[in-house]
Amino acid sequence: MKSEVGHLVEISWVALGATERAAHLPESSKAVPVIARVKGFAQSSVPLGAELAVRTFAGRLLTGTLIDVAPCHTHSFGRPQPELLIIGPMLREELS
Amino acid sequence: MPSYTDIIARKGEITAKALGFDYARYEQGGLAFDYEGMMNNTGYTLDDIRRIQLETGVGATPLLELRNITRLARKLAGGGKGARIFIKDEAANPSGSFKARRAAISVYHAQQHGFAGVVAATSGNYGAAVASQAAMRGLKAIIVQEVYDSKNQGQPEILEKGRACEAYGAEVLQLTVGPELFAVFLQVLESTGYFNASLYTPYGIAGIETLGLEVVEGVRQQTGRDPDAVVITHAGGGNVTGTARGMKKAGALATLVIGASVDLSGLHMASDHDFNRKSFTTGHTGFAVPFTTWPDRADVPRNAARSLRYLDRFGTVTQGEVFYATEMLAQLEGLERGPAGNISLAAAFALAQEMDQDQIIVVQETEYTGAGKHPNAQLAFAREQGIVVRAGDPVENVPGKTIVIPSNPRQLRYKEVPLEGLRQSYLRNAFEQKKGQPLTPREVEFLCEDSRLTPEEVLEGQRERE
Repeated sequence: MKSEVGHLVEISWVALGATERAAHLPESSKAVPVIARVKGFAQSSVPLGAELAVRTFAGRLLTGTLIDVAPCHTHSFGRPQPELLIIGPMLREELS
Repeated sequence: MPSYTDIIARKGEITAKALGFDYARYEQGGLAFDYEGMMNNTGYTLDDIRRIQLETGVGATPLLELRNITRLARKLAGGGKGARIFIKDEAANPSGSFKARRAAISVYHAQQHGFAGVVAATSGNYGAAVASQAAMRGLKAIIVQEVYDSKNQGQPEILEKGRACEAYGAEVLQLTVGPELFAVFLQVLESTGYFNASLYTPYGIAGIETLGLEVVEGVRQQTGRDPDAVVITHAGGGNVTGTARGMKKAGALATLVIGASVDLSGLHMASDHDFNRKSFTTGHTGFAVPFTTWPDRADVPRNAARSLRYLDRFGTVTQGEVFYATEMLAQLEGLERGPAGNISLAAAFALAQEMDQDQIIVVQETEYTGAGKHPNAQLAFAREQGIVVRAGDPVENVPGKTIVIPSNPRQLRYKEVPLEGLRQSYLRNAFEQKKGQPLTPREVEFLCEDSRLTPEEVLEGQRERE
């Protein structure tokens, strides 16, 4: 997969390395870097994993590693939960 | 970017420039400052704020009586108990939450003062509110969000909030877990010269005053009297502070101000491990307790949100109880709404059962819902994180380990958190700041104003410390 000039992509970069982080962090945070991600319009055509500059929605030019092309929102409504499905009928019964 | 310590060292200079607000003018030495002076000098009266908000369709939201939920509460309570429950349908604001009120004045102010754009550090609905207001006023918007853990797993609700920001044309800078978000935010402010649309400026808080005012006006209009209690979802303190100030300006001096938060005790807010083990991203004790007991931990020199000044009661509910209340609101009242307001609804449903039938309790907000925010999305995600989800009695809830959905409506409870304990924590934090130095008379007076402790209690705290 490659970026196409002018098309929407997502890049990421290390905002702070693990050793550059704030003091007094919980262990699980101390061990890992702070990673930043942003979406923007590709300024050149490069393969996934390569460095790329993008123009963000606010017009800023930012540079990072190409991690996705035509990024998609995949968060969903989730599968039905049995513990919730019983609530409506039970409450209506209670009021009838 | 510049090193973390370098940029944090310049936070005062950067935030002052990005706000154009002279905080130094209100300083009164050490811990003390003139809070009311600061709040009264925004340059906007309550009438101005109403007018500015109406320009972008913010406010004047419906106040709805929850007749079926009230009927249920009365049936469970028996003995003539069960207050009338109302809800302020803040989801009707342009970006789907009361945060539009908070963003409206900041974005208007930025526009009037010639800023080309606005920046906000928020993983909540405030991002979409800033982005939406900025779109209406032709300003650019950058939202800095904490959204992923180190395994690149995004919290579903925050992913949705990021999507909404992008829908309104904002740049969303997404970060992994950690308090260093503040440093990244400062770097964005410095490199762009945009306005700091912080959640905690006097503009942000003054914008919420219209909500308190409308709640009181709405209840008076529909019932001919003042509400007995208003339940407010409590996190950073802005919602409580702004609403309570508005209620007082409306003259509702006897109405109880009750804060409600989701109990997430035991989960560390800066922990990469704990981050995705919570199903609520706001309105929880992880923000409410630290911000109530020391407000000046915010991204501005002085936080305008100071909830101990206004809270009459504070209590918690569990995650499972809020999911239950969400389902109850949809199924009995035909209102499908998001998590934040339903925290207050769960608390109000329990509290109403202790009140008389001629009394009135108001749930002060709703928010929009959608993919990621929906209980199904959150519970499915929780199960993927190894959290046990089951029906039962919510007293068995363990934040980060078990979510217990009530198996019947009698199990919804409001757990009182004594304010006295929070006031004492506030005082301990104040003494930390003083590093062993004695308090000045003005500082004693300020701490009393800020925490509602008496001078004797403050001085006794100081003696114990010595």
